[in-house]
Amino acid sequence: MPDVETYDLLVVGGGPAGLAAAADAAALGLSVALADERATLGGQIFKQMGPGFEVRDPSALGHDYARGRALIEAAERSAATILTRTAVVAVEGDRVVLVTEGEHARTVVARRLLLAPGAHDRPVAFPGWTLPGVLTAGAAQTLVKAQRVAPGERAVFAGSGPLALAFPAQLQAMGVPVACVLEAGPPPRLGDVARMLVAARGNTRLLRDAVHYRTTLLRHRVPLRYRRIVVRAEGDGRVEQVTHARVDADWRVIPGTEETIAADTLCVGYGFTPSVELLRLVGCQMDFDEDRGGPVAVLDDWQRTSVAGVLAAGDGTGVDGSYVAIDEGRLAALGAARDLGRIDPAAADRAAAPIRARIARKRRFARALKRMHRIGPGLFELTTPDTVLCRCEEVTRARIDEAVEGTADLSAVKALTRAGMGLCQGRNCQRHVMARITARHGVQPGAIVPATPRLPARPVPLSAVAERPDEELGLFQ
Amino acid sequence: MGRRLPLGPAIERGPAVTITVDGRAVRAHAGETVAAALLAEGVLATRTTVGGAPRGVFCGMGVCFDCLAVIDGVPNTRTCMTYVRDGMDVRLQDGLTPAGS
Repeated sequence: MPDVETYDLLVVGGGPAGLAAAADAAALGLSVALADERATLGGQIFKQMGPGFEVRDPSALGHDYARGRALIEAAERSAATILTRTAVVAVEGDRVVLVTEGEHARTVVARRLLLAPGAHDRPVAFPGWTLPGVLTAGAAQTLVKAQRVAPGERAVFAGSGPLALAFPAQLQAMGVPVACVLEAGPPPRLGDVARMLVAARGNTRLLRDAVHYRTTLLRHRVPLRYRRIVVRAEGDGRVEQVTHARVDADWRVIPGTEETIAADTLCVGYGFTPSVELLRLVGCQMDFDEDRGGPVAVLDDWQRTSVAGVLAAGDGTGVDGSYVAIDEGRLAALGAARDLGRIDPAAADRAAAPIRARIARKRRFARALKRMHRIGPGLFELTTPDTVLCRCEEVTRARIDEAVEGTADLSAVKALTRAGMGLCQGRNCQRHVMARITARHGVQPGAIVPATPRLPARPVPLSAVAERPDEELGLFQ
Repeated sequence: MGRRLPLGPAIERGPAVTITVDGRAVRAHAGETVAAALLAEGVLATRTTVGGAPRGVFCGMGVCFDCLAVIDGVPNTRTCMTYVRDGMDVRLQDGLTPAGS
């Protein structure tokens, strides 16, 4: 292979973990490239406004905006090569196939690969979840914050956790009327708040924020309904009304408690799930932890996965939030430099110690928060037989149940029904198919072998690979 | 109905551009995704599925492949991941071919 670009470290994902890792690794003297599918860096949490918007007064955009800018600018200032609009579509050994929008695929060599893919909204299926006007919280937040476009005129927010308070307050404050907020969990108890404050060790920002958001909702008379969950969205070609119901402690709907409210927008935010397709593609050992979003990566002290040469960091390895993600990125940079003999092991240990201490502290806090807002199993029981579970291939629950009747094997269900074979590659339906397997066969999600990921990891136009020899790309073997 | 939100003094939208949506000229701003420009125009569904169901923005971050449209002749393009450009041709998608074709 003549003139193959070679990097000491290829970072995949330009969110908090990837940005921190790229800047630190470059500072340690590694040759670094950072690839991100999007046109702008920052990932979901620090998503930047579209290229063209002008930010005249960054201070008006708040604390998180400033945190994001600092990370992005540090990575851009560093010697790392930044590749935006660039997706990783295949990995084989140390060879990685990249596709930059509108260009041919190319193979680069990465001595170390750091996967920092981030997370996306936990998909929650219910009758009507495919109707236009039903959006994830992430989608609504992107539209409102990064695009300054309101998705509708009257929104219902259904979700759980700190976001269920923060996000509707932000929507309302930015001029999108919120008709109602549905929180599936109970109102916070005093004991929970006390535990949180202990775990936070004097960091009262979260509590202050929560009070601020609650006040915003109260001021705008937005009802905040605890222990209620969305049960369906209805309308002619788009959302016109949303029905919700009271749930028990397991988030199971209590019959006879339904209420219907008019709305043109339904934002759904029941937490996040790691985007693990690349981790699975390279064969990293995974674990299952619903509190951290479901599939989580098994990692060692230096963020190394079970696959030689592959490290992982951030919410894509288990959702712990941006503070932990940044430090995991830093640790991965040290780990890669240490593996490549670019930093003395003792020096790496010294540099890693305070980072690990911070991660441990923040993680305790994040987990206390997660326990407080634990997902109830009823969240995966909102569908009816004719609800489409696989959005891409339009496979109903009834068809999936028919297949599940004869097998507890997820890949078999996929082959029988096409659920998970569409463009999103099962990102939306896999957890729901698992829930049906659990319901029928009693196998817990952690014990269900996920469907084998297929190449390419992202749909690629044939034109991007057509003129290249197949063996070089390793795509069609 | 979607619409553009007031911005305040801290932010300014990008320069005005014109795109066509199913042949109709639509004003948008540089920095807007096709999905956002369509929502601001009141277009919620960007396509219908092979089964005939309308679909629009769902995940807004390139994960779900629901908000697809034919952009500059390329079908199955994610409108949430594509920024508008002056003269861009957007066609709402019917199954896997442009609507009406």
